[in-house]
Amino acid sequence: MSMILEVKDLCKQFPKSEFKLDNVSFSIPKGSIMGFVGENGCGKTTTMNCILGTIIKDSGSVRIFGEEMTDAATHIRDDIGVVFDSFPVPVKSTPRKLANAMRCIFKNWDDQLFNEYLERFKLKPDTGNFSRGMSMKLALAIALSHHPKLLIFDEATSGLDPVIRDEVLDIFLEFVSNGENSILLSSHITSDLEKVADYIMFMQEGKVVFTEEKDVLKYGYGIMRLTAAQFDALDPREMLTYRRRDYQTDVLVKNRTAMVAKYPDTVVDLATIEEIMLLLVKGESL
Amino acid sequence: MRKAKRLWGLWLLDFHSTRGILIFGLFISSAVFVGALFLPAISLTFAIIAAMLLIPSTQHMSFDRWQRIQLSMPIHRQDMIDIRFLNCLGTMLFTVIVMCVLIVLISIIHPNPCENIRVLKFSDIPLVLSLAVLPSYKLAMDFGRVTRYASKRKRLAVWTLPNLITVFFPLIIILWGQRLLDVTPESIGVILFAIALTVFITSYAISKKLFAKVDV
Repeated sequence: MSMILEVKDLCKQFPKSEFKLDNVSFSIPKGSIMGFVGENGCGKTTTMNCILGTIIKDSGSVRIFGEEMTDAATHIRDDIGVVFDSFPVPVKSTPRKLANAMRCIFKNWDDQLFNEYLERFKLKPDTGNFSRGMSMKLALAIALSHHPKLLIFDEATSGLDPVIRDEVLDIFLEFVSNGENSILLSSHITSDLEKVADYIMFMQEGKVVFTEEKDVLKYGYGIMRLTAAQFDALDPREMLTYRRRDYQTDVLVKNRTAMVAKYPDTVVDLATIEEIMLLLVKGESL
Repeated sequence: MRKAKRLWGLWLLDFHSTRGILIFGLFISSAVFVGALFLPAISLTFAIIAAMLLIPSTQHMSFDRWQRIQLSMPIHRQDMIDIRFLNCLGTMLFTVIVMCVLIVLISIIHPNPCENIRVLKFSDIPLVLSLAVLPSYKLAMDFGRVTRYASKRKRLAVWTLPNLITVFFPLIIILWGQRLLDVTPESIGVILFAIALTVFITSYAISKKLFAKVDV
């Protein structure tokens, strides 16, 4: 499988801080969307910044389109679209004025495409003074209008209303449909990731806990709802993590079908990404 | 050609993000500066400090917000330093030019507005230019948080020194204004301009080196 982004053993430590990125490794195949989840402060943004070079990594390798990403590799950045969690559009700036600057910066800037996105997002070319949602839409339009091959979005859909978010998710699916483009998408809105992501990477305290196909998570993983007696009877090796509730214990298991067969008297639900994340963060292990 | 185009685009982004602040700062500092011409020397110092602090500080805030976005674009880190220095210098020079025009206009309309203070002449241009150079240096050093993770020695070099100069600079103006210094205003201007220019060039070289390793 051909990879568009390969991150290997990425490490970053900040002075006067206990946080560090600890040997982060993952890769994104061409034509796929990688959803990036984790608590606030777990290292998602730092990882993205290290990939882009806005934060300088201590060690490890970042290869994009098969080339090592360095400050000198401006041609790589020409093919990357980036949206951060905020886009501070200057008050007097308008999409048209920003496009004038972007046209000079990006080699493949496409005015027609930019105008199409403005229309799709209901943004007027000569109007400024944007709300947060509108400025995020403008940032998305800019990121998509220079024909990038890789999109890196850090909480890009936050602040958007459900209708526009749905539209944006459709755009993401269109973007990867040619089998050549990919997206790294960090979001706390896990339902969005369930709709579009092919892979989910979960990060905790600067470490990658797992990278898994979304369908494996959705249909392979399961949550057992157990009584105290059922919980005691469970083989500890079969549980990933558990969380006690008032009248039951939720147990995250990796192979739902096997658990249903082995413990026919128990309830084993399909797991959502949000539930998996909550159990991994708040749950305990034996 | 491609690089020049990219730098132009980068400059445009910076300009969009600071234009409003620039006009506001320019208006305020010019008003204070012109007002100071009719008042005792101490007010002139206040005007200079206002001009020095107001524009760079506010401009810096806008720059900082764009930094990460700009660095994710197809440009080199070093290019950003170049553009920022040019931008900072350009802004201050523009401010100073406007002030000079106002001073000349006032001199024409009212050759001797106040007996306590000498109206600036064209021979004061080095002094006025040095006013432009120093704050732009300070701003440029702030930009990129070049001092954030630097060692104590580097911090001393790139932060303390310019700030001390920024403090002492108006003090010299006060002394000059009160005629305590036994030198001509012209020679003070030349000396200060030489100091400011040296500091500016040195800071440019240091920040180019440091910014290559800074996390944004």
